[in-house]
Amino acid sequence: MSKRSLPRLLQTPAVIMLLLWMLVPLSMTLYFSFIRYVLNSTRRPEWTTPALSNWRGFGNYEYVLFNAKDFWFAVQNSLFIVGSILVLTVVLGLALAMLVNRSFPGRGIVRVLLISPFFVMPAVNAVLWINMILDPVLGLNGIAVDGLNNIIAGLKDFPVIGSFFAMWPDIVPMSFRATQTSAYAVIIMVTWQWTPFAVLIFMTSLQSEDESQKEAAILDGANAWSRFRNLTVPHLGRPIAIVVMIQSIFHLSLYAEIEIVSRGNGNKNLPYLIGEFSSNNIGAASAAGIFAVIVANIVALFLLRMVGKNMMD
Amino acid sequence: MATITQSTKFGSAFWTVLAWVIALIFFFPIFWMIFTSFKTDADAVKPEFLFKFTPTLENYLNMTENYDYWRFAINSVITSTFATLLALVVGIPAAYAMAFDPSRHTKDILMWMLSTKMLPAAAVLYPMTFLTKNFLGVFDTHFLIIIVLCLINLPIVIWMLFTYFKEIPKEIIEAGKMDGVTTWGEIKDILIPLAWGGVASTALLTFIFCWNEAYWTVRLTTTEAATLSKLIEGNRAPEGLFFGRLSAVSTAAVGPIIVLGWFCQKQLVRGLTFGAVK
Amino acid sequence: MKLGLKSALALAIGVATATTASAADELTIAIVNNGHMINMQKVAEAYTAETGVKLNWVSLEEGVLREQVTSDTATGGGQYDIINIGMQEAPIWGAAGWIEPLEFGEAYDVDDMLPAMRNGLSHEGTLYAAPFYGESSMVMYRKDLTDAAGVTVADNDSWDNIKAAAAAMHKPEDGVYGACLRGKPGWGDNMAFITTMVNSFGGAWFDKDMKPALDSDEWKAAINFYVDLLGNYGPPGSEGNSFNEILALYNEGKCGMWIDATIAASFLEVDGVAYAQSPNAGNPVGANWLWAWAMAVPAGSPNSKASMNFIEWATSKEYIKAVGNHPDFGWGSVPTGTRTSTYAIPEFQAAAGFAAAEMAAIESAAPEATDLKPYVGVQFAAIPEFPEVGGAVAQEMAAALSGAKSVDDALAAAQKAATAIMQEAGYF
Repeated sequence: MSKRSLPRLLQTPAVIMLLLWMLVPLSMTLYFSFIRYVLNSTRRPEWTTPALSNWRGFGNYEYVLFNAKDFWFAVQNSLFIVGSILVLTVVLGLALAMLVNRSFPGRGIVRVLLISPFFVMPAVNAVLWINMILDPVLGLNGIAVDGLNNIIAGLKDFPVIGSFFAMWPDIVPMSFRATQTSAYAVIIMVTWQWTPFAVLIFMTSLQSEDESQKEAAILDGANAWSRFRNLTVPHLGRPIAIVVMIQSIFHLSLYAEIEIVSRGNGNKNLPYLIGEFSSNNIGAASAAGIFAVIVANIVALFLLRMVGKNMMD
Repeated sequence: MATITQSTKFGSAFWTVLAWVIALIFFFPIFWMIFTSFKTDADAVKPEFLFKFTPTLENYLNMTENYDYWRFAINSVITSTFATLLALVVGIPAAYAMAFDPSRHTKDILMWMLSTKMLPAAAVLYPMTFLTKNFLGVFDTHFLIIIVLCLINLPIVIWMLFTYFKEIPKEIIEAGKMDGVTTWGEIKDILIPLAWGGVASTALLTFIFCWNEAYWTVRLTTTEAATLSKLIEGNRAPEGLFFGRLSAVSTAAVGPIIVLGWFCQKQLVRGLTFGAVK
Repeated sequence: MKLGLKSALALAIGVATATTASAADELTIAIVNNGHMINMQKVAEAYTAETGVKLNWVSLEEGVLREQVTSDTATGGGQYDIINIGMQEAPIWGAAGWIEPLEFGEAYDVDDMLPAMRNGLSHEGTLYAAPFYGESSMVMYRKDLTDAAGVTVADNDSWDNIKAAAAAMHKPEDGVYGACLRGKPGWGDNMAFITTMVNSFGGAWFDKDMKPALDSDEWKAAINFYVDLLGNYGPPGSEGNSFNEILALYNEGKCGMWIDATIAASFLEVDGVAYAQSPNAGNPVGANWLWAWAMAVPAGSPNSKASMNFIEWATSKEYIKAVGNHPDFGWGSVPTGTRTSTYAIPEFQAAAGFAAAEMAAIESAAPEATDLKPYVGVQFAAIPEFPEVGGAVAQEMAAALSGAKSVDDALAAAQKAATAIMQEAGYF
């Protein structure tokens, strides 16, 4: 056993570093979550220094859960965004990976173009999409709808079909910053950014698929669909697990996109809620932070049950 | 037979065109950003498409002259490079131990590591500011940003390397041991050469994540260690509409990493094939 | 790695001071990247040449700036020598001792500062931040369109008239929308405009016991009017529009009228712009806002003397002349809204058609606490909790504008959230 102790020791630096990284700030957050701690207060100046004398028990938790705005909404919405993005990127990623896995003229360029969004910074992504593409007046969205309206207006002058188009109302472009739509805007932009990641992973997986098995299946007269179902899909369990796992990790903490699209109007997650509290009320922000840690761990546990085994073996 | 060939031909042309169309759609926003970066701020918000404007380099000149682009860019290169290297230095031995000498708890440890990545950064902003500024005095240093970027990415690095290393037959490592090779030798001379593709694609992915990180790099820096993410934050203004400028800054910030990604795309795919995805 | 090692060494020795602490010949200045601040970076080259003080500019997005400056100042400061703050923060940060009181020499002529600005940036008579540029709000409208539609917009017009004028100019099929108003959630965005509107209906944020008054009849009347006006005669996507977005729309000729910061006038590029004082529904608490982007020195800055010297220069009469005479800028782009003397300069009057309207708007803004509102500030309350309250209410107002909630529901939710925050903060 003694000759084995050295290799095992090799993982300790990583473990210790991550433990410190997690525990030190986390224990401070935990402490703050049980005391009154605000950055600035004219009414209760004593709350501005973190001290045990400001002990509040579960008061901050109670406030975040029951009195403050949007806690449950943030949890729900967070799961909705992450879930939607996962489904979309897996489906799109799979379809696109199969599309570019064949050889065809310009495949290299197509792949390069397709993968590019993955390298864009989140803040750039959000500014780009919400202002230049989704804006209902000056963005492409607005320009396209405007063009469509002009075409319809032109058709109204025609005999016969004109009377049909005359009944059409002007199309009003959809706003992506409204309460009802802001979550979709974020889903669209993050899906755009992360589909390339899924494509990348699925593409490598498809390339390692056993070609001889496939050829045998073709000779057996299996059609494309049954080949996909019986050969490709089972092979994809692991890459899907990877795409789901990595993306969940990143998307649970979306921030810039939510901020830039609608400032929390109709679309929020726990990190954003924490940000809102932390403009002054650090106690509440910390309690929300602890909740976020709990939610993250529940999701992690759930995911690991589902996909973790697939990933480890 | 002829009809089949014909329909396949037609089908093949269809799929090719479709692939091209989708690729162009995916690339369009980036194209649009680059395109806008050559417009003046006034032209940039005009809804006219295409070429009804005089292209200008003004935004790029402004960025390099007034915003010290190169300082931010160099900081991004320094922090991302060293954070990636550090993550590999810490991650390779750890993944080695986990892959070749697993204990009952190895998987749990790995899972715990991944779960640390889910902790919301916003929850620990004040503790982190306080610790790094008042207690350790490392605020706004390359050292701090390198450590933070390394820690953020370490779980993914270890996990990816673990999956690559597991693909290497244990016997090869054992054989090395028989020959009296030291642990360090095993890693350096046997493991890394064998898993080179995996190590390279892990490094590449980590570098991309480091480059694009925008929470801590913005909030734990002032000027000395500020990276390109901070340059971008500075170009969003409440009373000033600077899409032209912002596009130029964005292009210059994501440009290097996109080009790097293009060049390394094949490597990335090859590397991934070997390990995690297979 | 050299840089990293150096820092590691510093860590090992246990240097517990902020690493950015620089000698007095170098100042680090945090700014919001608005037009005037961008110009300042150029104009200040002369300052560096003259005094030898090197200036490091850190420009940040408004929200990030506030977050970073708050976390810095709350943890003892040291990152920045000079910070760019607004009128909401200045008095309360001064009261908390986060920023240093400012004292300037005789030549600075502090009495030249517009009284409203000076009051808004002071706490108990002490000036804590010097205004770099100031603004109020006013109506900017297209004279050609009102003439064509046969309507007029008067100073302090009634809201009904404003609505009639907006309706007359509203031609979405031609790409012209009657009224462009702020709708993007944020206490400094939609709430800045909405508050002035509520004020003109006789309402305020808090009652005399600092209880939120968002469920009052005045708020209901004002918000109903707002949603109706902007929903029917505004551009699509108004819930995402703030200053920048509307400026772009206006310059594209898509807005009949726009009620916003007076500073907007200096960015307008369309012909036939006319100005009017903010509309008033008849029961004034104040109908237009007051805001300044000001410069302050964080407490404990090792370079406070040098910092104050720079602020003294950057907010002086000389600075305004320097911008006016600068080959790159000129009199149309001098920072306004800070000094009486600026408005007396003939070159400025000639270059800025909006000068008189802006001056009148700033002078009529009333930030002081009155019987009708117990707090300082027009479109905000100068209390530390306001960003939280304002942010929560702002989201509800955007939801009402989006049509996701009825006005009554949105106001009820806003009232509940605001009450919770104020109660949590120990007000009652």
